[in-house]
Amino acid sequence: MKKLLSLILSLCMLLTCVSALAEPSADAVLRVAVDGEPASLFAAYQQSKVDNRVNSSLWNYLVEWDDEAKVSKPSIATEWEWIDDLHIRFTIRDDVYFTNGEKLVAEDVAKSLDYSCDNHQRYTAMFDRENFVVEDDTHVVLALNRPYGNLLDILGCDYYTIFDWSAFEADGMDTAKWMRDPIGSGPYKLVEWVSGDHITLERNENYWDKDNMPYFKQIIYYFIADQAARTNALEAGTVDVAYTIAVNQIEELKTAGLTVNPYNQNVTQPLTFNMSLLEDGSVRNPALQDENVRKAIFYAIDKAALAEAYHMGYGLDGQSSLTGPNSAYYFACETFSQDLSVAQAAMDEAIAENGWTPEDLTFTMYGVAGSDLSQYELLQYYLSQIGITINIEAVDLAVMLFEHLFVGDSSIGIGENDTWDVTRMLELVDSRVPTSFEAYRGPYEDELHTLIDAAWAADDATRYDAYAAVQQFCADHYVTTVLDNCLFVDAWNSAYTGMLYDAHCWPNVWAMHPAE
Amino acid sequence: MLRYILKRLLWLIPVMVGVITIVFAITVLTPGDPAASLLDRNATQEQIDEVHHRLGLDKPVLERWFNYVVGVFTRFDFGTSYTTMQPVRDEVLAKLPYTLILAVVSVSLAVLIGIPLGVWSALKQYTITDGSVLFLSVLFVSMPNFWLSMLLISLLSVSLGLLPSFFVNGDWTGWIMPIVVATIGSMAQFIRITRSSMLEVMRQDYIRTARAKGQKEDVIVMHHMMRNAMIPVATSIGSGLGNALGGNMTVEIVFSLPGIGSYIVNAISTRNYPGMLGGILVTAIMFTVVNLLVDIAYVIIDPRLKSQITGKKASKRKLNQMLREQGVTV
Repeated sequence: MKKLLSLILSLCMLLTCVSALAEPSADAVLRVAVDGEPASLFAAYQQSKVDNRVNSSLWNYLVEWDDEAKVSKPSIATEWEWIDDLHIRFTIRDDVYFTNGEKLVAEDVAKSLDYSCDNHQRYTAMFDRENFVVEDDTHVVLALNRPYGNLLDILGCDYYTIFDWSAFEADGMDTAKWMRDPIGSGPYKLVEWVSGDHITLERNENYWDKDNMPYFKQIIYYFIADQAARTNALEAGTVDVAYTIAVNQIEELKTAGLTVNPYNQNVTQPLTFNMSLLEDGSVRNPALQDENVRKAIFYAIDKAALAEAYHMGYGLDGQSSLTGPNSAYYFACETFSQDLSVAQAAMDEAIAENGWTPEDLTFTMYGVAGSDLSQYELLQYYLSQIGITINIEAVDLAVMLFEHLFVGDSSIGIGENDTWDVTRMLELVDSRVPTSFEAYRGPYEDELHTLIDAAWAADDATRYDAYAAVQQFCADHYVTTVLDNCLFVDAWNSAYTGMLYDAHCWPNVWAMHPAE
Repeated sequence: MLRYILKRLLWLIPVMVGVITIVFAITVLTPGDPAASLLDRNATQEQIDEVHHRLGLDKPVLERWFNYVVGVFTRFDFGTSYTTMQPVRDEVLAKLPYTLILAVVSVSLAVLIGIPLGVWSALKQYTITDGSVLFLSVLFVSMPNFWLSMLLISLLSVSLGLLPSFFVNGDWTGWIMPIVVATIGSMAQFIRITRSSMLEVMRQDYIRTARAKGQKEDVIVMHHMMRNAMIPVATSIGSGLGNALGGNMTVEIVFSLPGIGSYIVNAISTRNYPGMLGGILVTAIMFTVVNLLVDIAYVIIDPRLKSQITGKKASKRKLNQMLREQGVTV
């Protein structure tokens, strides 16, 4: 009888423990598997997506992206007004404090953004830094060199964070120190960074946004570089969230009862052609300057099948020239569904007109060694049907970047066009940008430049049409077309919800909490 | 003996210079630019030049090489990481204990298990025991580390929930699977080498002689067979430890163990040349030291080698003694 009673008691205790685990307390810890160790927790000196995984919990921005409404909403800035096309005045909250107890003031905003301009010149080129004006502690006017359509979108993510400028100055502007020991105003603060192992953040109890206080007392980010290892850790229950899961593991994780979120980022994969000039002024790949050859290529590819195969049913094939549906200036245009008869006719016409030989129609594509090159292989197959030979070179990532940045040896490329920022989209096809090997060079070049300049100068009301015109030009003249959209997969324990996505479509976990 | 050790330690200097030169040459000759990894895709030439200047890449290669060598030998300075801007020495030294623990523990376990199994298998040649041990050793030696790791994680972490699927500092259970995986491969090697070495020794005349003079079997095994069979095994332990110190990258990556192997892999992929050089250099130093220890172990195991090292002196002493005994003044 005693044994039976003890058995029942033990079972009751066990059941109590299990039910308690299902409802985590407010002091619970969120364990997150990130895809590597961050290099910098100083967001203004952020170097990669991995840095952003942690940074997004430590810092605040002027505005915050509302992923449901697809607009920017107030954050540190309570309101803003465009003084004219080149000047915007922000009103700053007066109750924001950094984790060192110092108050955030308008000067911090101006100086932080100015410092970011030093480190990310390409993406901050629209700022007229010399003319930032700090009116008082709560008002700052940011000046621009040219009207910039999605300024608010980009101010809500990445390196446009606001940091304690006076503390940074007091530290002798020691970037290396701040990379390891940052002072932000975000919902969490750094308590521990064990190199090679994990980072622990603790809830910032003095966080200014009392209505949106984080649920978890601590977040621990474990550095798990291997994709399969992250999945295993999530399945084993060792972590609650895992970033960047392999597409082929989606079904397995769903079956295990985990929440899986495959989402198309606003990074598109456009098919690009290298028409850059050699030192003697001739075009690097003359056949690619022939509009009929490009048309043949466009119609030879089955984009839907390619996206389906590459992303295992979760992909989204390109519906535009440059942008994806998550971009603020997405413009749906001709999709170029596969039609081999149209493709062959265009190729025949090109050969009849210009006498292209098989050597002229042999191109090189560079892919990253060790990554999935099935996209390249499928393209190789599609283009072989119209007499185009593709040689695939699998090279190291840095070599691949080198080929794009300095050499331009790749004839046809599958780009990664990060269209959250208008800069990339427009510069990709602009032959006036020296490093843009994929830029269009041809008889209508001036027309494209006029459209690009108009897009740069567009005010908020007309920007969508201006960007759409550039994309329509690219479709009309077969300059480039989006093959598919980059797919990212995050997964987490179904007991939790609240993953946030910023304007860049980068996820962050700080607002996660138990699901109702 | 001391002179021999000192001489071998001095060899470390040209070895390190050689390693630095080779890795330096590779970094210079390999296409790709660290600036490309650090900058945004459409970086301007001005930005690239600025990064080159900041990283010291705008200086001539020979000057960079010379400064690096001087830094290593005078200040033990391996430069500053391009990605984290922290001293590489600190980063590498922080990761060294993990690699050392994994290597030393796994090789020690492999030795403790593998050698007795190899001896046992040899003594029971052509029996079921021998066949089973041989089968297991072939199985383990042919099993890739990453595959075994995934199998163990699937079983022990995902299905049974007994062990963490990745290493977490402060939780000793995180060591179990990496050590088991690293041990199994080395252990299989030791079993095979010990077995074949023992079989060779067992057929020697001096073993037959020992048996003929009525020596006990355990004395024959322990004293006559094993000591002689250990020479190739010692070589194998040395190379096994050397490989474990530099070659457990797969295990480190799969189990997120923050060792030097995963550090080097990460440094290569981000074109962090100082990190890569520092990691490889420390691995090379450890490898050389391990080889020295193996050579010393040879001397202890095999008296013939000792006489070779100290041979000249010993002969001279013996000659002097003989001359003195015959009344000749030396």
